[in-house]
Amino acid sequence: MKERKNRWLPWSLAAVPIAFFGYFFVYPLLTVLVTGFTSTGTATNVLDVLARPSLRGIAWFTLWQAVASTVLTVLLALPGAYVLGRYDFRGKSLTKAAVTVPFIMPTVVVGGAFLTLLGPDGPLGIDLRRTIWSILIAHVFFNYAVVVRTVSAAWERLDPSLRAAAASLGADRWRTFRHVTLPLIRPAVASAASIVFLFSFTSFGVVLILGDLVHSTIEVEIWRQATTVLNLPAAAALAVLQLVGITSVLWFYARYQARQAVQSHVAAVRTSAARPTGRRQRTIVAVNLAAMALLLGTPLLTIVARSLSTSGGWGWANYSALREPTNALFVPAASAIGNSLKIGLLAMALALLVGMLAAWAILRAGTRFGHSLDVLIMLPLGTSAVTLGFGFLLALDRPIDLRTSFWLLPIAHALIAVPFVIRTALPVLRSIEPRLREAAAVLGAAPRRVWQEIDLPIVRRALLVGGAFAFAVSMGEFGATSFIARPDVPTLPIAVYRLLSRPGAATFGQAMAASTLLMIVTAAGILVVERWRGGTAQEF
Amino acid sequence: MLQCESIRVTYGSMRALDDVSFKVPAGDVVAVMGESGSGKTTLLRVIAGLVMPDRGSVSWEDRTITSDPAHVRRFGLMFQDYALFPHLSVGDNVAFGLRMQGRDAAERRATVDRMLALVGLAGYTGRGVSELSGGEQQRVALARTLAPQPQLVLLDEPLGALDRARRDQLLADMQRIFSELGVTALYVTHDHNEAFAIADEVVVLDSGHKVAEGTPSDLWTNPKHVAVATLLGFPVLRDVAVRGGRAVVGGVATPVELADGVYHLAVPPGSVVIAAGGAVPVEVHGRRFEDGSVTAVVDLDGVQILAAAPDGVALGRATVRVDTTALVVVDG
Repeated sequence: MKERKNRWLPWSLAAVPIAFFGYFFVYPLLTVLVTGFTSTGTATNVLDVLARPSLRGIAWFTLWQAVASTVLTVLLALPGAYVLGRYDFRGKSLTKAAVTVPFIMPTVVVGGAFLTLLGPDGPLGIDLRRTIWSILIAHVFFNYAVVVRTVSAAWERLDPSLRAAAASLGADRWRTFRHVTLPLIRPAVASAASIVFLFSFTSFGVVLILGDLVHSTIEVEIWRQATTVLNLPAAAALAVLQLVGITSVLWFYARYQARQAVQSHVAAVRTSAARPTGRRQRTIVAVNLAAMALLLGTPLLTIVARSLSTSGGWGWANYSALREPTNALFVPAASAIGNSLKIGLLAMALALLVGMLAAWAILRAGTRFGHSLDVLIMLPLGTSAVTLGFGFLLALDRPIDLRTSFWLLPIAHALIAVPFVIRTALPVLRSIEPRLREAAAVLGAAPRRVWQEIDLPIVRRALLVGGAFAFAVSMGEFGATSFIARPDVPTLPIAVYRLLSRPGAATFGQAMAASTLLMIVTAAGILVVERWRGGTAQEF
Repeated sequence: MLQCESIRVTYGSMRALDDVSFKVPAGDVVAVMGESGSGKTTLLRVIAGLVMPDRGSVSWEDRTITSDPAHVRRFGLMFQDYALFPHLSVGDNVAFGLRMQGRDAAERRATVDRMLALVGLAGYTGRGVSELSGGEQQRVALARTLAPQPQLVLLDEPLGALDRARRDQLLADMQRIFSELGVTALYVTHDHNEAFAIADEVVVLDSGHKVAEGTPSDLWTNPKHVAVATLLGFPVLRDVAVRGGRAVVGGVATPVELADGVYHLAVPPGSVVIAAGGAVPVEVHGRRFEDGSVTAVVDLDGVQILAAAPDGVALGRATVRVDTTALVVVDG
């Protein structure tokens, strides 16, 4: 039987995304790989680099800090996931939105926040800068949302009758948790942990600012070798090492994702959250909310407070100073705001265009082609941004030299943001019943008209959400940007970093002011997301 | 007039439809009846242009349209689950086909109002489809199907998801609307009550084959095929041997007016009655009170049959009288 379908449609839809990813992702990455394995220099190849004790130390540090960050984040976030998954209370959706804010915060802002909070003048009064503790705490702060949101969603979907069934079969509360709840949420915990591990493993901005090169991850070392030491082969070799680590984590993640798809059949109930009853439950909820507010709110508030404090008391001096040229930047820091907005909007438009075409191609293609395309386009999410930026520098000088083009940043940011667009649009597109398209066709709508009348209006909201994500990603992107931003066209995160790396209370205050601005713009993007997300689910 | 000629559709190695031919004369309502999996929905999708047949042709007014895409056929299809557009209001759903035809806004508005009034939903234009009950959604789907004045209306189990009271009501409404608009329609269902109520002619499908075709009363008096008898709710005694004008029914040789041979015999309602001194001994398994009288569930040669019974009928052994003249020979 032949369902009426255009066989070439998915290919023609996929042409643009494939070309985009081929030239701006696969090609630069391959160039890094080839450089890593073949070039001769002070460190000739991967094996030589690994033989160097200092680099072996960095690899080891990268691994163990990522494990420690993951374990800490999961342990600290589980109670929050429990509260958000099991209980319904006023302001719950607001809480969920607020929890997400740190995750989307630019890494330089997070770094700056903990520099203030854990510095000698911070409210804690102890200097944890340059210690592993500051890095771990920042990673927990940053990734808390990943665990809370993923796990609480799984918890929420648990069929409450399963707990009731366990209880009726004689299981007490602990055994019900141990034998029913835990096995059912385990895949969600595992996949959240994989993501946290990945982010901590490739952590750049946070480690660069808080570690101050005393502690350094592979990601930071790639950057240092490429930009400071100017040892490109060593940087390439480290990038190869990094890719190996990331690929193994992604493999683990994919396995658990596959399992989780099975699990979601087990728990098909939409939500099982209930209002807390009794003093015990209300206390649990209240204590958890207070802890969240403290953990997540303090660092961000610290930035705002520091940005407003000047040598002469509270005031806007740090903000007005952004308009003056400083020796940290070639241009006034305020110009970075305009640059960032312009790049963010362009990146958003590019990501929407490429993401939309790719999502439709994946939807219309057969399972095999659709799946390969899906994997290709998800890859940038798991690739370190620094490696990508490095690849741009190595590869994009031919056939035309794009390395100094203004478009390079929007393109790089779009590359990183496309997965977000696809992850928000695809579930919605998939949820459109084929019968709706058939109904439109029978009512006289030609294929293009069906797309315009059915697919587009239904997916429009999801695209808005994806677009806002793309914008936020672009606003905060630091890893790739640090390689390819032109000195005279800095973005806000670059401005923040340059200001932070200059000594002096005045520049520090300006850095905090720029951070606050960055925070506000990013948060505004996320507010749009949360407002429009509504019923649309996101495949994470 | 719609004409289907030797339609064949295969899914992998399975034949969903095999050599199916039939006609729908202009102004008639034809029902396609069959169990689930008989191929009736596939047939509808072939006619609508959503499935391409592997063989055979579909023609409309003597023009072959087999390879025309769905959107140029001007047929209306009402889906089993209605497939209302969730992002559009009731009025916009109904107006969709008119918009595709390029009708202007004033005409669209007038037609939408007329259609909604016709299905009993006047004033529903601005509502969202998610606020509607199942019965209301069904009516909106009907209005949406009819609004662009399709040449042929295809209905896929349109009452399938409704409860019985609503079903009877909507069935009556549909009859009224179809005759008012002079609609030519193909109505797919598994329920013979629906098919017989609405159709001039009924086509019966079984495992992708057409096994019977006729008016409702033709089929009721002569089901012709085991599948038809089953859809009508007639139990079938299989492989009954007839020799010298006698058939063995329930272990008892009973006179029948049939030539020697082996037959499948359909048992129409009322042809088996529990009676003291009946010729055939049976086992009464159950007892029901239905439509004002008592019916016994009896086992006759391994087939469950409903037999009229006196009020006090007890479970266990009993005897029945079989009206052999009422039994109908059917193909298997």
